[in-house]
Amino acid sequence: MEKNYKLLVKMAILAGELLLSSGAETCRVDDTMRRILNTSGLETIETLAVLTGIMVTLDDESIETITYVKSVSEIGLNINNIIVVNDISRKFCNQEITLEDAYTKLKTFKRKRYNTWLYSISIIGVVIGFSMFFGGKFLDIVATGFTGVILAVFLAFGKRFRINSFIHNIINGAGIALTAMGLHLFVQNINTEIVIISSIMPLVPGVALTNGVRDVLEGDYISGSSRMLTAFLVAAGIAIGIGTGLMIFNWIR
Amino acid sequence: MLLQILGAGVAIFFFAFLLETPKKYIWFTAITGALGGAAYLLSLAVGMTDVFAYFFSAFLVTVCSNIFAKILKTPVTVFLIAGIIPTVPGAGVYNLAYSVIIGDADLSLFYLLETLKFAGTISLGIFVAETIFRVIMRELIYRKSRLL
Repeated sequence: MEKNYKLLVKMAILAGELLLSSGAETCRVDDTMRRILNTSGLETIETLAVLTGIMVTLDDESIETITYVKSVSEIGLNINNIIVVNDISRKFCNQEITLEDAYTKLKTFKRKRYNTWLYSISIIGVVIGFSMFFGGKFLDIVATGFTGVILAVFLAFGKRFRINSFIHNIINGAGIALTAMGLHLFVQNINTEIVIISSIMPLVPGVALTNGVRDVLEGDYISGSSRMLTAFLVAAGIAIGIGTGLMIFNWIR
Repeated sequence: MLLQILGAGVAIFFFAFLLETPKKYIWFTAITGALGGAAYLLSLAVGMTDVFAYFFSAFLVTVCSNIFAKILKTPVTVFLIAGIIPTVPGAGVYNLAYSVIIGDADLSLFYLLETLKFAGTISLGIFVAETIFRVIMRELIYRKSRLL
């Protein structure tokens, strides 16, 4: 049976790239690509996924070796992509859809489900929820909501102007710290610690850190350590921002 | 306490939008998140150590998200990420970075160990629960196939 092996490899790479950049575990990326390539029935199938890129080799007596390398630079969290890619690859492996169909579907499905407005409202919701979870009083919750509004505005602007994420975190941190301290100036009995910690919750990389430790426990040291390093870098950006904000505030006052 | 658990649920409900979770799963992720927060707070309230509280929370969340994933036929990650968000040491990493920047060596070492401890405990909880779940599922499938 003659098959379009090149397209198969391309599709596997695309699926792997989408999964990896959406924050899936590297073993899941490996597994998905291997399943897709296994449908070819060829002799040698090798896949390697690390946090910064994926490599795939397909070889057999009957064909020329096909090797693809794809570097992946942007790592975020996107549950929708994981669900859709998982669905498409399962349908493909069960031969419910053809290779061409699967490839076009992977290329064209909608990456974003929600618009910036809903995104901004969610940021406010998240910070209010966390200030409740951390045991904030009514005033703290209101203050956190206000800080959340500021944060949502900052995030929307950062997305619009495509600011480098490290600098963006610094700006967000400074904004949060200045808002929280400014509110504290007007209403004395706000617990600024709760306000600041709950407001940075949408930004801090707790999930990335935990996934990093999970990767290390599963034996994938490269992805694990780079995930942890990424987490620390993001946290450092926020911390620099908060420190700068507090410094500016003390300096103005 | 109830307000805190509600807070965890609300936070995860809205966090699901940030993670682009499809609408039909959002309520389930919120339940998983509230459960994770509740398990953590309750085990602290009955006098367990914080390490155990983190472990228990991660364990329960993993079992719950595996069940949801089986029912709704989705990847486990969808619920697992949402469920561990209330307890993951995001604030811990921030505290670590902050103490490094202000140059407090003692405090940064403290937060480093603390953060790694909690992240490790949560990962361990996830691992143990996943292993147990897998074994039980295999056993169930095996029994079913023998009955038929």
